Amino acid sequence: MDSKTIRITERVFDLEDYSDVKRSLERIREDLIEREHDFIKNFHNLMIDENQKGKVIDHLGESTLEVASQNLNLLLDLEECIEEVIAELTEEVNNMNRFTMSITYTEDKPTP
Amino acid sequence: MSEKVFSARELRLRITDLEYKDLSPEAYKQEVERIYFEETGEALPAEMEVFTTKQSDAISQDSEYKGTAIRFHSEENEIDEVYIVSEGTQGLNDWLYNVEALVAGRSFVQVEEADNFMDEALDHFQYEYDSNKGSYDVPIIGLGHSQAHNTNATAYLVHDKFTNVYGVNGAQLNYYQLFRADPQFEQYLKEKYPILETDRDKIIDLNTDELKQHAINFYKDKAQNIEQDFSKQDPLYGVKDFRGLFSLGKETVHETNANYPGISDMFGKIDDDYLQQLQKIAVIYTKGSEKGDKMHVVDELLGVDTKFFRDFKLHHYATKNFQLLQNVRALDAALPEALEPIYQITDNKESILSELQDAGYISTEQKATLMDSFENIEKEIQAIESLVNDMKVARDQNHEGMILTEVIVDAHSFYKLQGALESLAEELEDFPAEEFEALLDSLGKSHGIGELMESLSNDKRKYVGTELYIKNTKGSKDIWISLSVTGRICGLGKLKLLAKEEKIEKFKNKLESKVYEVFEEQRTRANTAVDYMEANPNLDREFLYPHGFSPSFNRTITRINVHEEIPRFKDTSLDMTEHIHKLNASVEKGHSLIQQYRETVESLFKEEDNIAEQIDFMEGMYING
Repeated sequence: MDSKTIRITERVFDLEDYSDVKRSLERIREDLIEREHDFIKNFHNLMIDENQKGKVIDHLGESTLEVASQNLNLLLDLEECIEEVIAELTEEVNNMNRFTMSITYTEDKPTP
Repeated sequence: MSEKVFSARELRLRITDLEYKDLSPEAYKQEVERIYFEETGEALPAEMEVFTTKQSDAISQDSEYKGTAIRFHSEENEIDEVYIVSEGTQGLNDWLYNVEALVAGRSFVQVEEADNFMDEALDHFQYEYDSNKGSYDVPIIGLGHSQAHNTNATAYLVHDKFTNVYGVNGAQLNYYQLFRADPQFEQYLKEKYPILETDRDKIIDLNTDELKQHAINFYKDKAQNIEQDFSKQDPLYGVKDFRGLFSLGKETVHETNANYPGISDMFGKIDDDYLQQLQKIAVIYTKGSEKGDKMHVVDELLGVDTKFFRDFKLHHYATKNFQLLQNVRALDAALPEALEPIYQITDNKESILSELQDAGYISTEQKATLMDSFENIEKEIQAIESLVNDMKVARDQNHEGMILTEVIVDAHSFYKLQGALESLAEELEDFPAEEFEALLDSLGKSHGIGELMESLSNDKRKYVGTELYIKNTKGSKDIWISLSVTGRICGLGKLKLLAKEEKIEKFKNKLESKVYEVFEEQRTRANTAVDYMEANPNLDREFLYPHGFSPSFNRTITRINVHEEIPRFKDTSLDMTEHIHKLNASVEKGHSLIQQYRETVESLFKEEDNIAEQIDFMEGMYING
């Protein structure tokens, strides 16, 4: 009996969807933003008014703004990062569940 | 003065102000601790218990009376005392109560509620009322702002359970209110004025100077236990000598806003007759409002029930003509007396509003709007008066009854009267209360406790609202710092960073369980599938069906060779370790920032000021609170 080989691509497992994971990570990120705002708000009202600021206090204000800005930017980047990671996870998992394979078989005559 | 904990004025004022913050008992205690430490530099000398009207069974949650009872107890420091902090005027209903109780002198509901709350709180703190002494065996100190001072002080005069009463920008005692609330004072006045035995309402016609003096004499023994602070610019201070009101006890007046003269001078220029009419209007307004809509206020203003007129239809001429005659005559008879106070007000509108404008409380535009509104009300009232007079004259001249043409003319007047009554109700509804709100806003600041606290500032301590700032003791430039804000930055800041750390940890865990582990599980599943298929090729014959092979053919798969390379985790970009690292670093930056603030504040003060210890205390309070 001759054997024949064909090359096919087949999905072995169903498509996976990770949007719920994305939502839960996103919720934590939003909580982190809220906490960041809370933290920065905490620094208000140390002094009575802006006119009192000398070099030392100015420096503190600048440091606060710098930290606030860096931290918030980090959390903004995180949104993009979550998006990319979940997209990649979905793509990788769905790709690894679809195989390209060579199948070698033998064939008999059909039974009358 | 008997109290040991809130013995300083600043402390009492700040605790009184705390009542408006609507805090949970835990947060309230924390704030009391903070304020006490800020003011005295020491921790509270006694254990603190708090009971609020929110926990009360005696006070309905719908009630306008709100308050907090605080008990301090320490055997070691020999402290055992209770403070009742009543909440002052805030909402619209409270202001309606102000009109009723303070101007009209009618209601004393909140006074009774304050007394009931005190009994319940003292019972909660396990004190027993000694009926022989007529008091509790513990000092009870009342604190109140605005209307709450009237409530506490009146409760003291009527029920005699407070040891001391402190008020700030308080509404004064009212002898009309006390006449209704205190049976002993009522009896005293009835003995002085027998007419009150037959008609209690006659009290409003009695000589106000005499009544005031009677009240002061009757309650003189309690005066030494009442103390008040006033802002000169507070509108309640301006009206403290309004008809019916009287002050008792020690008073300290503070100049809190040099930009405004205060309205006491303005009221000083208004004669007593005018104030009496104003008071009558307040009573009328109160009675009308109690019944519901503005049409009831119209009824009270005009002194008759206008429902008959409002419901009267043309065909009623045939069936209710006699009642119409009676009602027209009644209205006509009632109008002159009823309208007198209204005309007094509207006749004086120009001078009153000009005084307010001159004092800078209202703008030219606001004055014009209020003038228009008063004029419209006056116009509607004049129209009602004129129409009723026409109808009455028509009836007086036609004893035999009216002929048809007269009925038509009369019906026309009547139709206009119905319209005028409706218009008056609408005018009252449309009264530009927001113009008064703007005025009240500008007066409100002087009425608040914050402005008065600010006036207590000195060259070392300064209040912004009710927050305390202290001046640096090093360096040439003045820098005012709030130690409690510094403590909050350090204490709450650390707590917030801790919460942030927990969130980052949660993010990391979620990432590991829902991304990294999922990827590995899927990878294992795929590899297992590949191994299995390659080891058992003939079990996967269904792979051939979609490719045109009929199941009727007998085929045997001898080999499967999967060409896929299953990616490893390190080949992907799924790893977020670097981001997590940056997030953790942001927490560290937060801690550094807090430390930087703390060191900066400490550097502004001399070592002997013990600023570091004070910040430590505040910080600990926030962290442990």
